Amino acid sequence: MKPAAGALHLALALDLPALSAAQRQLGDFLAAGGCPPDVCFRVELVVEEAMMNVIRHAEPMGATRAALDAHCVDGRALVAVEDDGPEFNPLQAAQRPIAGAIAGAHEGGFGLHLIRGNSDAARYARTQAGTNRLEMEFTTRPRKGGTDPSI
Amino acid sequence: MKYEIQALAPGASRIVLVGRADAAGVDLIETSLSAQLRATEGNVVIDLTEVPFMGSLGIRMLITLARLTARRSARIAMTGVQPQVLEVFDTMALLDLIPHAPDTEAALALVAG
Repeated sequence: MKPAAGALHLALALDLPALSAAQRQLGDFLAAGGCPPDVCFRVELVVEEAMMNVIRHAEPMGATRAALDAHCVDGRALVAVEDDGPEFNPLQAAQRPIAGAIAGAHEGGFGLHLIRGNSDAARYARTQAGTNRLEMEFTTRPRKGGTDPSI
Repeated sequence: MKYEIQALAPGASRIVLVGRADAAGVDLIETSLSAQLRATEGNVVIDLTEVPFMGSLGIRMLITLARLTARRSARIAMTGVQPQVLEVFDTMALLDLIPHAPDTEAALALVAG
């Protein structure tokens, strides 16, 4: 996704203060572009999850940079998170029932719940440039379902 | 982000969270809040009235608080969850782990069983 008029491109340092600042900037950008509050909220939430994967897992294994691209079209938010860490597809992680978490047995699969449950479509690609790229779409339509895997 | 633990009723405490529960906000309080909860007895009501945003780290922190409470055979509930946060909790099935009540009295009744 190339930066363009009406688009947001952020190069992100791999730390929590930078992530929080980016979340706020992203939320403000989407709101100014006409995305409804529920869309802005879910975008910030899912981007946090995607970036936490990079900060906690990819950075110790060699990731040095990440980028965030976003634009808003007809109330829909289109967002991409990209990093130069080892190949990792968050959409292929094991997904387990969240109810198991309280027993302390695991937290695995929680991120996938977050991404699929709060985006309306998501896809992953390992780019020719050797980066992980997660593209997601968010709409404001009332729903309780998860990701449409068809895109 | 800030928090305060208050005595709510005999055998119950209230954790009041204030601010955006984004990555940096949660990182500021999670370790100390978990430590204080370990030293607290009885049931727990989490008041989220002043939390306008809850990110993935915030949700994980709530699961940790629920786990710590369950380990000492106590109960936990939430109150004051703002509508957008509540929608996300519902999507995540988090309310199956930590029930939500519309006000503090109802939350107390929930944890009292």
